Amino acid sequence: MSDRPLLVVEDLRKSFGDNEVLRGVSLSCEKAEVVCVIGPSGSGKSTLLHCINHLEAPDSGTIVVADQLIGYEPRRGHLVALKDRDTARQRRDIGMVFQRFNLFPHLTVLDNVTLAPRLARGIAKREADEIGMKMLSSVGLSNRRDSFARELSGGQQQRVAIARALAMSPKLILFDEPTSALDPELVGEVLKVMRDLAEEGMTMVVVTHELQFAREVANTVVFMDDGVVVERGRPKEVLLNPKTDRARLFIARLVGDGKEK
Amino acid sequence: MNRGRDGSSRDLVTTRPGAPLKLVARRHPGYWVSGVIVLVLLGALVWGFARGNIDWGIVPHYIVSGVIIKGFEKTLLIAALAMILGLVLGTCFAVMRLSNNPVMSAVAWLYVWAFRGTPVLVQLLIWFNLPLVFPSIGIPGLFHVQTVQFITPFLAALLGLGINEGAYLTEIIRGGILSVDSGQTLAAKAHGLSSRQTLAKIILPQAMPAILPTIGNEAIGMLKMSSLAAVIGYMELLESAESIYYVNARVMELLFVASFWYLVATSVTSVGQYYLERHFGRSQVRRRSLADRVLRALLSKNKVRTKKELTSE
Ligand SMILES: Nc1ncnc2c1ncn2[C@@H]1O[C@H](COP(=O)(O)OP(=O)(O)OP(=O)(O)O)[C@@H](O)[C@H]1O
Ligand SMILES: [Mg+2]
Repeated sequence: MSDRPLLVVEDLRKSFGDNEVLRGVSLSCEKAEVVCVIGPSGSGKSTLLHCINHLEAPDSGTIVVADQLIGYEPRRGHLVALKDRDTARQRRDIGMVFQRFNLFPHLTVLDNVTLAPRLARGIAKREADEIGMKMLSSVGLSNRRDSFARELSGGQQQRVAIARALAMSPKLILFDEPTSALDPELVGEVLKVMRDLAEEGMTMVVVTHELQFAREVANTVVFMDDGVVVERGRPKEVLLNPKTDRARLFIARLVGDGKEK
Repeated sequence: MNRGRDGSSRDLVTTRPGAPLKLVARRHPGYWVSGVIVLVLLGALVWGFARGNIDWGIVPHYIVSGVIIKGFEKTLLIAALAMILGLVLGTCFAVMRLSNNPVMSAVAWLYVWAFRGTPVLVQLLIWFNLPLVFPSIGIPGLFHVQTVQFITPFLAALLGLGINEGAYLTEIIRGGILSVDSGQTLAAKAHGLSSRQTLAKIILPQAMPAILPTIGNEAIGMLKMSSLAAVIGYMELLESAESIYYVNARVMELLFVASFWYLVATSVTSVGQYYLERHFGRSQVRRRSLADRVLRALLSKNKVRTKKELTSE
């Protein structure tokens, strides 16, 4: 592998109709680095994550994960969109955890975790079950293997979702506000799992409003607003000493909200 | 208790001294009157039919006669095959209709528009009369048949009923697919599943419970609709009944015979639909609770046994 960072996003642009959501976003993330992305609602954070694993096709700009150009291949001086199957293959190396968990409600917890290894990686059921159980234990839920999502609390569901992402042994995991849909008392258990992951050296891009988590776990914090990266730096610089008014205002408001609770 | 403290309720109870008051349902005279009127009308109807010019004695005989049973079998066959054809077509066209490819989507729209917008009877006649347009069909050099021999009443009925049903099922299945949360597609794709895998393993299994009742109703409708194939000479139940009454002029008797079997088929389908819905609607819970029950039964047996052992010792 080259010395390039694991994830490199360059000059990413994306519009929905007239709504220009990403207006030239550049970002990079080293192997084993944790990047936290903060920013107001509608600033394009989810869209950025969706572009990284090509759930949304960008209008322009490039995304490289582990030296692989995502979603396109150079051909005759152009970048041509990949076939559905090839994009699917690239996504296997990029895990994703959603705000609303998005567990598969018709499958058991264990089947949720093993479905992708079996279908997308072609791993045999027994081996997949073994991997699945290992991942479930790592999030502390091996005793719920036969439950269904609706029988679990939000925090448990999100931990299953993390196990589901881990079961594909991804090189990078994207988290889109993983604790925003949780009751306050359940946030801690999910953050704990994410902390452990970071310590084990998982590369993570985390969109979050949990400033304490960002301060303690992130190597880099990125503040986005209105489709551009406004500030980027070490957590202490960005969170405690923001250079721009926009970032200062946003962080002050978040801290204020936290105190009200 | 607080009855003693609650003055008002005590007043109510003590307004009439003596035995405690009994609670009695309010009388509804209208309820009885209307019931009697309906029963009388129904009785008149039954009496009319019983006294009318109908030979009830021959009905049981024809219900089990070979021609009728054969026709009933063909009704079941054509309804089942047409329903399967409809489901295959409906799934394909529903996916096409939702495709990003505008040509695919437009073709699917056209299919639904054309086959839902014309009567099935007309469609059946068109399929059956296709030989008028194409006297012979085939692929040059490979095979060649006279269309009249190829388009039998069976094939015309299958195509007519199945393709028509497919148009209705396209809309039903499309609705089912759209009812599945879009986050499911995102999650499936994000974990590296292809579009086809996402559809087969994530979307359709979740759309199923939502559309199953409607599909059951369609199946019941199909059983009855298949009687239209009589007009193109397919020997299903109705055509079989007709073939008998053309000879013996027992029109009503044979129509009742046919109705009997239609009722049997639709009733059985309704019951099947009920169980299928229950299975799909709560498949996860039920399967688990069954396993739970077995497990618990085993465990409790062990416990009982150990208890017995303990007491006997
Ligand atoms: N699929 C889509 N189609 C049309 N517009 C979209 C789509 N997805 C996002 N948008 C728009 O893009 C803008 C940015 O959305 P995005 O979800 O990326 O913001 P966000 O920073 O994640 O916000 P939040 O904190 O609320 O999740 C919003 O105005 C949204 O309405
Ligand atoms: Mg978002």
